[in-house]
Amino acid sequence: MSHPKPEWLAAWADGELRGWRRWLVERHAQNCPACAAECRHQRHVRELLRQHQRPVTMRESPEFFWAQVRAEIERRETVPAPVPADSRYPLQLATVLAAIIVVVGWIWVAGPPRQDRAQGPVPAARPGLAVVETVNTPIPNTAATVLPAEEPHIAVVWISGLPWTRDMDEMMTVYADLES
Amino acid sequence: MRALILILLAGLLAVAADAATVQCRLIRATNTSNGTDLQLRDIATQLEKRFGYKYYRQLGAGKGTLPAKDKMLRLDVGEGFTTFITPKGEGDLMVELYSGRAAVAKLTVKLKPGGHVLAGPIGVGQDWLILDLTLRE
Repeated sequence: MSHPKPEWLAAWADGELRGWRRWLVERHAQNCPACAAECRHQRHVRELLRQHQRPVTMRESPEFFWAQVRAEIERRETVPAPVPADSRYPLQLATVLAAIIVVVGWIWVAGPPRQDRAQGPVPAARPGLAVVETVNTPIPNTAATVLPAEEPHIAVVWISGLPWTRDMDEMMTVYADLES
Repeated sequence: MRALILILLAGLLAVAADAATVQCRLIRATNTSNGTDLQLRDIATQLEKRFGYKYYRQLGAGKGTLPAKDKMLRLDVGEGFTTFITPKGEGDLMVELYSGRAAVAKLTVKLKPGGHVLAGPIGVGQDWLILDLTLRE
């Protein structure tokens, strides 16, 4: 007599075995003490699990938890799927090739500069209209720095460490007595 | 005689027209005032870019004709600020910025018409004071 498969016994214990397999297992268990013991053992384990089931507790309300899940789903849907490294290079290569084709095509169409074409005056580089050559601050504990020129007609001398005053009156009083 | 006077007058006018004018302005940078002075519209953008405040008010200004080499020009800018300018050569200026008795800064600059030298800041309350030195033809 061949014993039924172990997964059939487990399914029978779970109450999931149907049809002729269920009839076969039950009939076999009546005549096979080993399989009958196995069936009882399986049922006993399930009963123990049912009796000592840990109650599932949630920190948040179900509505809040679902809102979080939904937000996470939406976030993942908006994140673009990672492009495999191998497929990125052909895209870049295609971009570079397209750029080269456009440039070559432009040169081809425009042709070399013609001598009879009206040529405007080449704008000369605007010389610096304001250049600070030296700077110093005689007031003790102060420092002056010439900031890098961003425009040719503006030079900025940044003086740090000068006394701070609350208002103009105090400023005039303080600076009137300040030795340098 | 009349012709001689006319020639002398013409010569004087020509010299006066050729002389450059130097101007020093005292500017208050603030976020609490309302609007920037129209007098500062020529450098308002640069002031905002460099100093970061929203509004700029002109507190005072001194203007004078650029003197001959090694001659000193004194400009009273207002609020106790004084600027001394001494030409040292072609476009070279020695500039001394004073507040009261204190020399805030002494600098030598190459300044051409249209150029600006901004010096500061001097903290007053929540605002800054900035000095702007410029040369005009």
